[in-house]
Amino acid sequence: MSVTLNQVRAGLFLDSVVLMQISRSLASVEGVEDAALMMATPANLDILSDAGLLAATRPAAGPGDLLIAVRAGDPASAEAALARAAERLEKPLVAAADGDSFSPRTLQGAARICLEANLALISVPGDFAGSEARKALRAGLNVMIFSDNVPLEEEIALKREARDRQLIVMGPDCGTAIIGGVPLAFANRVPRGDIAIVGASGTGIQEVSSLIARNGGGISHAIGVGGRDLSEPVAGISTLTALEWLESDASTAHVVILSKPPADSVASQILETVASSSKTFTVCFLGARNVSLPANATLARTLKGAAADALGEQRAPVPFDSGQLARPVVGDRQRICGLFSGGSLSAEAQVVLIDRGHAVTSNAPVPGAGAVSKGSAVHELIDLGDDAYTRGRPHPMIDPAVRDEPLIAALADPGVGVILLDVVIGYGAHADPAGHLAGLLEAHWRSGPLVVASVTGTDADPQGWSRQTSSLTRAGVLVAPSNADAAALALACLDAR
Amino acid sequence: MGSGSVVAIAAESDLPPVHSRNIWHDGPLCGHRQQIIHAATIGSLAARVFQCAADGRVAAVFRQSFYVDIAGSWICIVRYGVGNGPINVVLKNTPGHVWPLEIKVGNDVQVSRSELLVGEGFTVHTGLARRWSPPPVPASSLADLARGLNALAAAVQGRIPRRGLGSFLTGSWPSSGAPLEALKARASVRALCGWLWSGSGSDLEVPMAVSTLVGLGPGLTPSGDDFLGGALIALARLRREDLACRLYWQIQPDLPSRTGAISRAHLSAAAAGEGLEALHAALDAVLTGASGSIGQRLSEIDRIGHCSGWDALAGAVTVLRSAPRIWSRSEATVA
Repeated sequence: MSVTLNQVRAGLFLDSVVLMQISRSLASVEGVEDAALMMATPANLDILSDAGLLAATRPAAGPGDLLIAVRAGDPASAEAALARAAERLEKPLVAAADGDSFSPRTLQGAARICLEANLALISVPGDFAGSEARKALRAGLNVMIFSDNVPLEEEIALKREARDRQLIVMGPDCGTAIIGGVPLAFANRVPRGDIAIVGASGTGIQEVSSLIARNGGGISHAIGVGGRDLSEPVAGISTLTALEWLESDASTAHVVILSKPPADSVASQILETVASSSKTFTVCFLGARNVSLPANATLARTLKGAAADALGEQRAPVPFDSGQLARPVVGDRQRICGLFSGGSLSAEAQVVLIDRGHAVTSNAPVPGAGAVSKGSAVHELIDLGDDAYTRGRPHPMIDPAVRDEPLIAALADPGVGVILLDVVIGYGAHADPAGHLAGLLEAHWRSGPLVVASVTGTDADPQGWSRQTSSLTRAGVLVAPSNADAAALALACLDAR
Repeated sequence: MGSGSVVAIAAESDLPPVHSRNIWHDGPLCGHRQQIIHAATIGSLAARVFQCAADGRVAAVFRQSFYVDIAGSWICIVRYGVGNGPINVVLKNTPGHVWPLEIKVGNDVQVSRSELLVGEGFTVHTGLARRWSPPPVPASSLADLARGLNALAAAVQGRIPRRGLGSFLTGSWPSSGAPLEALKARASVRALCGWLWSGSGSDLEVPMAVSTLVGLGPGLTPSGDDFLGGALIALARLRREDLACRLYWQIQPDLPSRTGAISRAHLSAAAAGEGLEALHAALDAVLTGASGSIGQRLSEIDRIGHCSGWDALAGAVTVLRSAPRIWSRSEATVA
């Protein structure tokens, strides 16, 4: 004999999706034959009656009341269902599908369930990233595009749409952000503080945020706007949005802007925004000279310089004496071969070498550096994270083996005096990049060039900065406290002969 | 960067997941402070509420919105991205505020010319809000409409929710196996169709049976109400406000006893020819035979409640199918 129980919640309004979710949840209780939550309108009371869901004594309910109706095989099951209803009605605002096991199949589905969400992180092959990002924007979500190889036209269209919707697109080609203390994608675990970073490159943000953290500072937010954001076609859309939003962010006192030298027209717009801000700024357009800045901003030539400026005199990193750590290069080896997983780290090293009067070539040259040419006798610094190296392959920060082949070649090159490397740790990076490097050096490094490196990250990162540094040191690598210091150390080794 | 699993990356962190946080702030900014949010748009009927100072209360709070009852006029404050509507006030996507807001049913509300103050801690500024009202009725013809209805019939295949009255979109009558509300609605919808097909300018009374749709079916706004709302809006899009008035007069006396206050507010707006922006967009796509956009419009319809969008579209399409009888030639060709 079935048991039918009704319960009235006077004047309780729940949205339709929640009503259906709870109805289904009640129907799944063991022993329950049917269940429904409906507005207690006369028409619905008739429906419930026809369905055998109305108790013998019609409940006293009006059309603005919610009626919970359960029919079960036994009283205990019916009571259990009502108890579940009570539990679910206690927290209607967080009701999300049927329990925690719900896995939305689409971004829109996720947005409907996770109503607190305000950011979507897109990580699909570049050709598809645009359409997913567009869906996210249309669901009212800010977007971080982790993917690279996104067409320029797509990036422009997405960023314009985001601006129109008062949202932001972070990336593409910049897989780093720290929002409200939460690291996203390639990012380091750093303390909260009052310094914000708006950066066009991921590893640039990582180096600066890590240096700030290791020297006692903290980060409010780090926003990776994408490697092309400050180019003329993209026109700095995301950078301008980030600066506007940071202006109203009480937790930020100082902002660091990191980028390759931007297009003139974009630089003017950015610097106008800086000039009108109540915050102070450090501007690091890697490789740019003679930038005319407003009074509330200072120029940094390197990432290390940017971190030091943001930290202020009292917390600035202790100056590094490269001469003290340098060892002389053996023989007539003249060149530095840089193999970087981070584009900004490669750019910073180029700036350091150029500022010391050296000729440099690179596949991603900064102003003053030349393009790579085969057989060149000058220093060569390669960004292995460039799109040309990563299409269809993992980024070298994820898989350090991407660097193995060129590294083995450099170890065997009689013209290379110093091999300059970066090791980037943090969330998303390889679990033990220094260990991988040490293993390769043990197998292939007999004599010849010196190996100089730095580790970008913090001791709070899963890999641990100190542990990674120790691994490298044990392998015979000369480890500098920053990427800029490593470049200076490489030169010092050449000069020490 | 490539296509590695960022979900896995995030899972390694013991920090709170990012989706529980506002993009800029790691907690509600409001705390005990006054939180001020600007409205981006305000529906035409909602705007009327702000024409004079009045008091009211928060009547319902949902995951993306809350309703306010101001001396019997209901307006809905919604988060950015939910969509425009005649009684909606859509908030700006403001850095620093976190949804859901700390608002509870029963909170006092005060309305002035450009502000809505909720309790002591939350203010909606409407002074700079853009006024939203439905777009003008587009130019169309019976041929356009026929093309639109055909495209719609193809596009809805496999998409209609099982519950509610969306099954009337298929053009065939619900039979055994259909949800109870659809079976119950058959007689009412038949009566409505009969009245519509009686022709333009008919003096026939609206059949009483139509009223039995009121309050029928699942959802916060019962499916029958949504269906009627869609029908009223479609009549207005066909420039037959006279028929819309007669239909509304037929159901209006029974509304207080047969359905809830939120549903009544939406029906009242529909009687004025105004509904949610997504419904207008879908209707106009059908009306103008814009077959290429109908798929996208249906995706937007799908986002309205559990099945409310589909129920309203079904009511609207029921009216549009009768256009050859109620839409005069001059009306069908003039924008």
